[in-house]
Amino acid sequence: MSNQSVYRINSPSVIGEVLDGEAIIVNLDTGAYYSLDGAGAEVWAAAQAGATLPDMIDLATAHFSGDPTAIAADVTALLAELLAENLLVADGVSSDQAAAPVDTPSPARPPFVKPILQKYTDMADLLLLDPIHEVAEQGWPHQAVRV
Amino acid sequence: MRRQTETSPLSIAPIERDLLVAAVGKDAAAVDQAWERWRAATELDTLSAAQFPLLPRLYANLARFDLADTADGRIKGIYRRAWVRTQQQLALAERLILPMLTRAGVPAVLMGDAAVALDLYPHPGERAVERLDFLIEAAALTAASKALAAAGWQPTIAPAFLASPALRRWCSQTIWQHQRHPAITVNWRPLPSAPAVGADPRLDALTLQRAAAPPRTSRAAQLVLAGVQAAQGGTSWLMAAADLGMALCGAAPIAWTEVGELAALLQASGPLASVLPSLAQLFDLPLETALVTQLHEIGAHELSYERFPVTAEDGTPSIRERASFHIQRWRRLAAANGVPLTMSSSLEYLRVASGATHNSQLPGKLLGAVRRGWS
Repeated sequence: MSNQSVYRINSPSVIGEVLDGEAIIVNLDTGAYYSLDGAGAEVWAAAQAGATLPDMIDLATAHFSGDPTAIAADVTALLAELLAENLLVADGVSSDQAAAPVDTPSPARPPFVKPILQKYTDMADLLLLDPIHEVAEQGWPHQAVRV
Repeated sequence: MRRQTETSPLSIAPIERDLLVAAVGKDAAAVDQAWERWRAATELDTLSAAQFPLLPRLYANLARFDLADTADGRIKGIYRRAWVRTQQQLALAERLILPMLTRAGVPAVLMGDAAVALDLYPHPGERAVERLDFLIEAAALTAASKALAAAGWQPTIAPAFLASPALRRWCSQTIWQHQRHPAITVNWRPLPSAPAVGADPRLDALTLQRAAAPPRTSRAAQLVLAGVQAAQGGTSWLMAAADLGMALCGAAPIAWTEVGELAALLQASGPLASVLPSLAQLFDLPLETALVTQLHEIGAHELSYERFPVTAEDGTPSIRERASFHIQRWRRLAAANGVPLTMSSSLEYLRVASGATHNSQLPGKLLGAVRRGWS
């Protein structure tokens, strides 16, 4: 996880949307879906916009009040989790032109709350797009062999 | 359960009106007032089956007007689940089923929930896609059936019917189930009892958007089908009314000439004429009087669009009503397909409609009632 790396949504497997301050993300390959709010939703939106990790930290620090060191640690941990869940993937390195703008700190910033990536698997069985295991040599899909 | 005739205006209860305005309306004050009335009069735990599907859209509209924080947290949860469900369904259609049918040489388009979600709503998650409907050409049914079966889908009708011309003649769709995926519906008529207008070159132009991604029924078709669904009643009528409301309130212009022409082709002008004025009034929108008059005039000469009447409290139709429904449907389909009205064709129809492979399997009471009705 380089400081100069930029990220993108792991599409087409992953789709996300931010509504009313909450990011909803679904991994169509696993069927799991995720929720992020507060600073987490902002980090997600920033990652979508091509931000680097330092950009995300600056954004969170600008929008939320709190210990900058703790904010940086929590944002770093969240990014690592988003990558571990394959929701984001690294997409090259940042150039100056591509750097995300950093907001001026707002005078009335809400307190920073450690972002939690909520994971739900209750709808996973509704869809399991599994092209790898449904591909046969003759072409796919084929019916899975059941034991 | 609401019952509706084609010629009477759409009858909407106050609580349903409030939900429609709160979920679909574009006027902030009207949305706020309707939302306050609806939530004061509603218990989510006992919400009707007709109202429930509108909750995702309701949440999205409340969020748009900064009212979401006044909503029960469960409504946001329902939006979240609907969003996931819709994304999953659309992915299933786009990534698996449509490519599979294309490889099998079957031109297919999305219709129903998915088409509406893509075209009439700002974000697909606002319109729950509970099931996937595909429209194919009747001639491609055998190829589509082979492709679906090879991928693990199983038809809910007797496989013997799949290759039978009788299926194409008397039926309009098959439902396919899969062990790992949601069930899907394959249609070869845009409406269950629409006349056999497949040979009319206007139908494709008015019904399909093959160039769109994913390919789907046209907005004109979505309006016509929603109008029929709203007029028919049943548990989906309110969702269909919301679909129409989204089209009426949307920024995209409606090609009313195309809508009128397609409604006439599908003999659905009457149902459409019955619902459009009510919804335009509900959302305080102008609607061309000439258009409604024209729809009414055409509708007066249409065969009454078939419904499956329901009268019993538990929703179970009586034998007499089922017989009446099937007689009407058989006559209409026979006329559309150029099939003589004989006892043989009536029995063939009844076998397909009942999923029976032999006459001996037909429900005796229904068969008797139908025979008496035909005589």
